[in-house]
Amino acid sequence: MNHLTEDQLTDYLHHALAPEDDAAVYAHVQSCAACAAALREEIALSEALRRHAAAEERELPQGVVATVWSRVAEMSARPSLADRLRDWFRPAVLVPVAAVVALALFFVPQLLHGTSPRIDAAYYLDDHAAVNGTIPFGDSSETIPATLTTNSVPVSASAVAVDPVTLTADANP
Amino acid sequence: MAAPRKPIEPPSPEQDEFLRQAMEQYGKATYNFAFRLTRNEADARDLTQDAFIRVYRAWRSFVPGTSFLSWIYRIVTNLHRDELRRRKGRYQEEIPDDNAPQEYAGARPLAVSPIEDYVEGQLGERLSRALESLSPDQRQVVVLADIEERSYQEIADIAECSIGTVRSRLHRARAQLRRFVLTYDKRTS
Repeated sequence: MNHLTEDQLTDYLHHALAPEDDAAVYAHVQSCAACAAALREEIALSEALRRHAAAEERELPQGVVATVWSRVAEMSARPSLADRLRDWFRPAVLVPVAAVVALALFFVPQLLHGTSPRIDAAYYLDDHAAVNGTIPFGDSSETIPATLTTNSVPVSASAVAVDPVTLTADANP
Repeated sequence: MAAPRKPIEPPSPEQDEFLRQAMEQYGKATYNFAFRLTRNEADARDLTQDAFIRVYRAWRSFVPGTSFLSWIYRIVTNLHRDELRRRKGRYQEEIPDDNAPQEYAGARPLAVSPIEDYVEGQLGERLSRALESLSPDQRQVVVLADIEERSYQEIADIAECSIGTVRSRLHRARAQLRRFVLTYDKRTS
């Protein structure tokens, strides 16, 4: 067997090898002075880390416990943002709010429409007469009262003249 | 079908008692774990406070019969990671590829000052600096494996990673510690 790697020794030291590998490493270390020395180094490193940690061990600072209780008291007095959101979205609140929104969406446009400026009916009649005057064979609008066509061009003057003979000739060559 | 909504629970005496006992029994261990991760007293204090607030909020999620220390170590680890992300903008994960080649594997520095030969005072400062030189992930694994003497599986559960990742981080961390301790004299001279 070749010399053991540091990784193998680390895993061996931490009892992280499969049983057969663990046994093989154990057997090798018994017969190989170099690997035995390397293993002692690994053990020494772990022990040094533990001694160092023990030497720098600290007590829990007094202020920590007091601060935690003070924050807990604040939390109890004031619900968290998540709690407040959850509270808002519970059905007892959400259903009436949705109903109010739906009613508002229905009624507000109607109210807005009710306040829009009115257009006089004469405007539509004048507009119709003006457009109609440009259409060949359109409505001659003789029935339109003169008072409602005061601003429009007379139909007879603006209508396009059509030659009935030409039409007849095209239809029957 | 959606689960029925849980009512918002007001703080209960049991919850307060749970927190009181947790701080009394595990406050010191939690603070020391936080200090070993952060290497800084102020950060360790903040981390410990935040961890116990988390314990208070999530007290019902603790499963009786399991290790409370493992649970709170996981909380501390997550809070520490979040804090590092917040500070750095991003948290550099160590060794995502467990099969990545490891250039240090193989040769052993047996010829130079073995760790066994250092007297306590000499080694303490070296180890402090060596631990500070590790990445947060590596330091966490060393603390749990060598100081807390946790198994790879327990470390994987606390760090929420695979056993292979634990193994890789520990190998690299110990190699760096070894190098740092053994070459410290050269660097400081």
